[in-house]
Amino acid sequence: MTDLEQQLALLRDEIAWPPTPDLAGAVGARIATEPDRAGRDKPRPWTSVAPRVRDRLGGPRARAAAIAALVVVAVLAATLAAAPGVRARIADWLGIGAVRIERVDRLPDASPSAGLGLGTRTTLPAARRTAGVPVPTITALGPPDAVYVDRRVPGGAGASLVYLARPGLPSATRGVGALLTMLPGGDPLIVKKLLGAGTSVQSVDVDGGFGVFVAGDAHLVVPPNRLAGNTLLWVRGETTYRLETALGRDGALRLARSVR
Amino acid sequence: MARARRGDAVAYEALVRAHQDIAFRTACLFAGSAADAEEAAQEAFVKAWRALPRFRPDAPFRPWLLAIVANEARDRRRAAGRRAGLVLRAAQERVSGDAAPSPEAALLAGGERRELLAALGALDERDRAVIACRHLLDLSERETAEVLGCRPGTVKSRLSRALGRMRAELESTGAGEVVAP
Repeated sequence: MTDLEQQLALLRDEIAWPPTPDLAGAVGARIATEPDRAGRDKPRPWTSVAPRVRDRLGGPRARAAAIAALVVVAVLAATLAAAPGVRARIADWLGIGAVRIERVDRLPDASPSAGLGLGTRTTLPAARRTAGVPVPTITALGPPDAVYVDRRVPGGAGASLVYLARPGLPSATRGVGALLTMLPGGDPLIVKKLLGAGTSVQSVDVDGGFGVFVAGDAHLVVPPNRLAGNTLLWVRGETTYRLETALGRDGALRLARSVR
Repeated sequence: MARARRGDAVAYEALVRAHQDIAFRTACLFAGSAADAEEAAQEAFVKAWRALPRFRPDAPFRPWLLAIVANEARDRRRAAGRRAGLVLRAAQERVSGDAAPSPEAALLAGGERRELLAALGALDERDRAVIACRHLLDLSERETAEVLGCRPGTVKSRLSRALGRMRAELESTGAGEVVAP
């Protein structure tokens, strides 16, 4: 090694590089919102069922009535869910808008490679032009960090907004602090949630409307077969809203009230 | 690595954590600013994730990753119309005696450090990059070759010529007599 190389070796220890940012967290959050690499092109299991459901529901008025009926089922089931003895005797499922919630004795294994399965990344204006649902934002959190449109959803493209974790908004999953998804509300089988014994379901009032808060142990979301934490569900018009956040019920309701 | 190649995001996050220091510093060498370096390194990790299924399982991950990082950082700097070496100059300003230096490092006086960095900064990008990769980042010849986009055998000759020009630069400023024994 020459003298100059020795000097450079000493210099190496003296350079104060800029501090390395938390790339692992940021990258983890970004790839979590990428389409599932393993199953990107696979058809979803409910795609063959959904058109029949849509046909049965008919036009907008019939769809609205169907949603209302589903909400009634949800009210009944949520009430029953509070009584373990009754729950044990009755088929334990409830539906709210596009989401069906089922109790299971044992939670199936989640896919370790499952991303959030949100569809294609886009911009907020483009999502508002192309999605089959309204695309409001969580105004309490400001503009979203990422916007996705999922055209695989039966009944019109769904949309999702990703807000990365930040002070006051802890990570709910893979660096994502809040995930708001809008689904066309008429098809009750767009998303299925499987709940184990450690997950509770409460009926809540969301801005004057009916909602459900799923909390406690992580539950399984199918598709994309991933584990999810606390989730608030509500229906507004013909759209089902799904808000996943590590915040408790009151925090989730506060965010939901600012969705506009 | 095998789990990450199969699409396990958690395993890949662990890989990112293990490589984020060297990736960010490599990006610092080629980007126009620390902020661009952060964006470049992040984007490179995401691109590597997408390309991982095509990555040969028997190949070393680090050189492949650093090549993606360097390309991303260079592209961003060119797109922004910035000159190379800005981060290196920032590093020069950040060299300080705040932290207690090692006994060996204490051999380099503050003036000598500044002169070395000034001489390095005066070189063209190609010379500066090969010296920085080998001596400031402590990359292997193979890793340096991947980052610079040349053959490993070329690294040695390119480094030798670059060190010669740096020595001449130091001598032209009179600093050569300071750092020479």
